[in-house]
Amino acid sequence: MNFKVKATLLFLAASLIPYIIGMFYLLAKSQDEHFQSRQNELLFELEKVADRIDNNLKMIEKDFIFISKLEVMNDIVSFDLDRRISEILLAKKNDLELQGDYTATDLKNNAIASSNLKNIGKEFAGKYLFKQEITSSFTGQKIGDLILEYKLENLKSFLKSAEGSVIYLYDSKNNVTYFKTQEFEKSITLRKPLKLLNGMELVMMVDKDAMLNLFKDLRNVTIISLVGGFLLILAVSLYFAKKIITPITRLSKTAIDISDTGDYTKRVLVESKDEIGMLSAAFNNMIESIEDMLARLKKESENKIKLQEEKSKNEMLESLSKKLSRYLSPQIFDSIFLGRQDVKIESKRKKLTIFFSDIVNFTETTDRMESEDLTAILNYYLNEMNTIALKHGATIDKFIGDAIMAFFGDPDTKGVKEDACACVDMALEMMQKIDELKNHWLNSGISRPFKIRIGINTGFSTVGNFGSEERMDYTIIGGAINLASRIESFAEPNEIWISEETYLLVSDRYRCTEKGEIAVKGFLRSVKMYKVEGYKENDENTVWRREEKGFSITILPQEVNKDRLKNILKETLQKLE
Amino acid sequence: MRVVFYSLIIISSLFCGEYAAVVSKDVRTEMLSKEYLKELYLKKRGFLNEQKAIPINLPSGNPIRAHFEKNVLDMDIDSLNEYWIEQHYKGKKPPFVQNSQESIRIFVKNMVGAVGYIEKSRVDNGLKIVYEF
Repeated sequence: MNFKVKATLLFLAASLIPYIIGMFYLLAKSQDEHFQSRQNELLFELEKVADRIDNNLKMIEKDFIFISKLEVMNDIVSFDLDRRISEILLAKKNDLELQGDYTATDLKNNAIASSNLKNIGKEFAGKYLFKQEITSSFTGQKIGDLILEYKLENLKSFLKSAEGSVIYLYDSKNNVTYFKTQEFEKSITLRKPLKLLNGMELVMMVDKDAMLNLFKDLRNVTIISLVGGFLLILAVSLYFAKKIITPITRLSKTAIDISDTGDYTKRVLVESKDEIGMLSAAFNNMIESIEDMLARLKKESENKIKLQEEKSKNEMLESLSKKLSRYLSPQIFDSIFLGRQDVKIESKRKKLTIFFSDIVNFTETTDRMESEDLTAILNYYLNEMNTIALKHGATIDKFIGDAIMAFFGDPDTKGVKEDACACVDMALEMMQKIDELKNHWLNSGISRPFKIRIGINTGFSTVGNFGSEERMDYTIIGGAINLASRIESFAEPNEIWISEETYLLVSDRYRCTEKGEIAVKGFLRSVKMYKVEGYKENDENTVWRREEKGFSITILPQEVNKDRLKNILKETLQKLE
Repeated sequence: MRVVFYSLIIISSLFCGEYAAVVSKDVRTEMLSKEYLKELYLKKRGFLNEQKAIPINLPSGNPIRAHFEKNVLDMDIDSLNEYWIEQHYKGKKPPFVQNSQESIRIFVKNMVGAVGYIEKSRVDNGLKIVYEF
């Protein structure tokens, strides 16, 4: 059952039930009232008939008395030889169209005069309605009687009644009915006694069926109006149900349409401002916001895809650059990837501190090793060194086998002196790291630990991208680099040698010993070289370093726990003794 | 008409004593004088020898009544009318009327005290003549 039918039925029930109850109540009530009023009407009619009869009789009586008092009545004495009384009585009878007769009798009750001439001379013995004494006009003495015989047929003309009813006379004394023309199966009887006819009653008998027939019409009218009312209510219910349902149907159709087609441009027609209209408007708003949201989502998803693509590109780039970063020094990498420096063939001259390191007798030491082990050991070493170099801000130019080439002063510089100091610091830390690595190497099966030598020089060099458009290398070239390399090759194992240029920059911070002037291949003048011993001792922060065969010690004052160190040293002493 | 009327009167006067005023034989009375009879008929006198007198006329226009009025009452019809109109206001009515001599005869016979006038020839035993004209 759909909503329209439900709504229609609801309307029908809501309006029909009280309507039908009301109609039946009205019918029952009007039947009662109608019955009562009909009965009253009939009674009234009966009373009217009785009144008419009474009035008629009263009139006749008055007339009768008047006649009895006429002077002509004196003729009774003379036996009415001239028939003057009879003439008057006959005239009166004819005048009233009366059935029955007036008769005047003498004192012996003999009829002296009469409207019926046959009665004259006879003794009067009939029934009469009125009897009036006649007195002589000259003595006032009774001379006879005036008598009116009155036939009940006179009343017949009064007993006319409506169809379905009959009015008749009933003599209650003698239990006789007169003029009862009809009988009814079911009847209602109304009675009214007549005042002037003693013991006579006027009776009205009404056919109950005929009376109820009147209500049949009423019932028919009620049924017709019920059917008419029902049809009207049905029509009104259908109209209103349709009026209510149409927007809802439209709403649901649109909703189904939208869900089927996914077309969110569709809208519901809003015609009314009632709750359904509000619902439709709200539905439209909802669809509009969904449409907006979908459009936004579409845009966002497009953007997201774009972003994703870009991101994957970036990620690819990132992973590429990460891979690249391993082959490039982080400074170079950063300066290129942060866009500080374009990748193009370009060079500049700068004062740099150049660092060279090399593992002593690397080839000999590793000759007997498998290449996998060698790669692992070398990579481990280079990784550690690289970490230290980065910590100090070095630009690693390249790894040449076991050798490391790095420089300070490009692309970032802290100043020439600071760059040089940073380079020496780095060299010192590397040396210390080598000490630590000894144990590691021992564990890896290398009986003779590696020793490295380091050469440092400071001087102007050309720095930039060198090569072709297809393949470039960020590097430094110049004599200062060659010198640094040469110094390194002169240096003793586990020693850091620096050129005079560098020495002049760092001597205030480091203890150095002169190694004399050494002739270097490719340089006209011999070069003064210094060995870096460590940090200056007066300096609290100076790194303390001693080394003998089979023994080495390095103390980093900034990092060490002095008490613990003391204990370790005490333990060492005890062991030696 | 008038000629006939007067001639009738003349003829009737020729037969003097043809009519008689009568009462019931039960009334104890002698012959009455003309004057007495006149007073009875004009209701100046109500009793006839201690008996209530009931004078009776024939209908107006009856020649006997005319004769009676002329010879006994000595009044013509106009003066009689005048008289009775006057009496009407005094509550007196003229004598009542019987239509025929026969009616008068029976009436007078049956009603003691009644006085009527009829032809002498109609007088029977039950009646007593109290005046002739």
